[in-house]
Amino acid sequence: MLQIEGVTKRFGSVVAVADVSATIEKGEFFALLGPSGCGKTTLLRTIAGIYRAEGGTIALDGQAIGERPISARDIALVFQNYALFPHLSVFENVAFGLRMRRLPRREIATRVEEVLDLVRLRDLARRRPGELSGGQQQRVALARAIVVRPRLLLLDEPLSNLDAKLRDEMRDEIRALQRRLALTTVLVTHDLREAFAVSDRVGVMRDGRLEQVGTPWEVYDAPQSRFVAAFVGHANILSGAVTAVGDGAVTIRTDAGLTLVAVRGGLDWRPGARAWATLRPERLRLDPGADAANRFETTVADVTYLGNAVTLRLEAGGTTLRAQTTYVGQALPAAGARVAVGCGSGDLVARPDEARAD
Amino acid sequence: MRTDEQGRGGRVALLVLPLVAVLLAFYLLPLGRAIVNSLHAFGPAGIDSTVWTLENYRRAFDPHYGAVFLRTLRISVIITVITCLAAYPVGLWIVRLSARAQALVLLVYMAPWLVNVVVKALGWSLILGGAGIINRVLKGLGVIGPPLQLMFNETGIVIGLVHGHFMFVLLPLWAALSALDPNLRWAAANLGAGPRQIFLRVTLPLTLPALLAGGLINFIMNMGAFATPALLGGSRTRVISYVAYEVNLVALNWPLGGALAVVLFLIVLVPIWLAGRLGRSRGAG
Repeated sequence: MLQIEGVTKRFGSVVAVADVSATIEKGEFFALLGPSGCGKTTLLRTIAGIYRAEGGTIALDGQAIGERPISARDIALVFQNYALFPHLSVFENVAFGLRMRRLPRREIATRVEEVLDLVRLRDLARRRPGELSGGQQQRVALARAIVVRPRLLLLDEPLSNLDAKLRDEMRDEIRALQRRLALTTVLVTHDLREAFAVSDRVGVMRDGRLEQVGTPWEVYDAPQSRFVAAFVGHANILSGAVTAVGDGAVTIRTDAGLTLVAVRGGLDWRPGARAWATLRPERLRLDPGADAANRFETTVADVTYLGNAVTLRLEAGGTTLRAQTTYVGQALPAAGARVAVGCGSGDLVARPDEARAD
Repeated sequence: MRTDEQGRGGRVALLVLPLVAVLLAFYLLPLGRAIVNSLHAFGPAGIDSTVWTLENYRRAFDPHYGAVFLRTLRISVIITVITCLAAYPVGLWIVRLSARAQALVLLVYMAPWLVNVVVKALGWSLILGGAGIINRVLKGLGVIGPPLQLMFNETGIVIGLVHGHFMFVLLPLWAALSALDPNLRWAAANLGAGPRQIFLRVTLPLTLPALLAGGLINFIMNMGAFATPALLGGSRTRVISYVAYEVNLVALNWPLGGALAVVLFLIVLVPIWLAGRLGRSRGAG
């Protein structure tokens, strides 16, 4: 279990990581998601011990490790560029950590071969990293990290240097490996799909802070801030004021004049207060029933065909709405057509305005 | 495409031409001349170009000149080893500085090359001489009785040339150290390596080719050094370049002088050839 409490890291006057606290359970796969420059890699490196935190504590399985040098933290880090030792063979790269731990030669050989089998690289053990493909190098980097049986595995954008197809394969491979070894893992990524596909929980970072922590479902379907809503996938973000608060639903009139009905979601609503709502494009239906809680008359501005899906840009009285629907051969509206779209009150996620200005 | 490439080849040849001419006129022709001379006999009347002989090469390896060659070789190796050992800490220190500070420090280390050799030797004599700074300080502290002999011997040559030729090792080493991915050191540390292990298992093997290249240049410069050994070595500690100079320009024995030059040239070729082989086998393996 990794416990981070109030960790702060500055570079000169720039605060890269600001007072971050999080608890990552044993065996959990946790993704730090955020745009570049949000401090996620710095946080990862601070946990690893490359950087020293200026404030806060880092504890692994109950032991404070913040003061320990990088070499004594029992944390394995996979670098974005893999950082394989170019002068050593695949075998020696993987054996490096075990040699540093002064294990007997026989045990080193057994464990390295075991791990190379696990990542399907046994045949390439004698090769140098320079002779391997990107995917193979990635697997060596992974093998080198897990062979030491670390208490915590850190992955810094491990898939960003691979092409799209390989990335999906490696992603599944990493996830399977992590499950099999029950490794507590923290992944840093800016790729939403990557984070969602592998992780049990996601922490969205912004400007050095953890903005929201939750399961992928929570982060995607119940973003707590405009930033999270906008960063995590496409979203229609609508701002307005609360006009009525009912039993289970709240009514918001947007600044452009749309009326939204959203579930209350256990939040504190006051009529007249500013609020905003997230509406995911895929939640907007092209053929809303007559009883849909939300119904908008729109003009089609643009239709984008994506093969298995279609996205539409819709104009609804000054508001642009993005809708997405799976394409299974149905008739599609043409640009310029008038269409009614809608969604249920549960499809809209509404929140009172954040105190923090965006 | 073909004509285009040929055209480019022609232009390149044209650009290289002045260099080829200079090398030919001032380097290859005299060298060829020296080789030819070294195979002629020398008599009271000067070079006898009618007689072809290996006598000069036999003399080049006689105890007198052989000892000079061995001394030159020994001094050069000692200087190269000391320089290589000293360049690592300096290089590691420099790459940790800011870019501006790096440029400044490198300039300081290159400064000896910008100062006239005679001026440098004079400076060293003020420091190393019997009444120089070092001896005065040590005597003042009561560490030594009679002054240490720090110049007019091999020690003087070694000190002078370690200083004078330091940058030939430092510069390639610095370049290799700055090109080293910092992630590699962090990766090693992350896997449990301490500073010593990181140096021995990552930094050293990855910068060794640069060190060897620098060491090779340094060694060749040491073998051929003339003024510094002449001024700091004194009359009892002569190196081959100085002896060859005396034979050529004082005794005017060009055949023997040519033979000495050719032998020195061949000795220097050996490490170059070895380095080439090593480079090829590393590249292949």
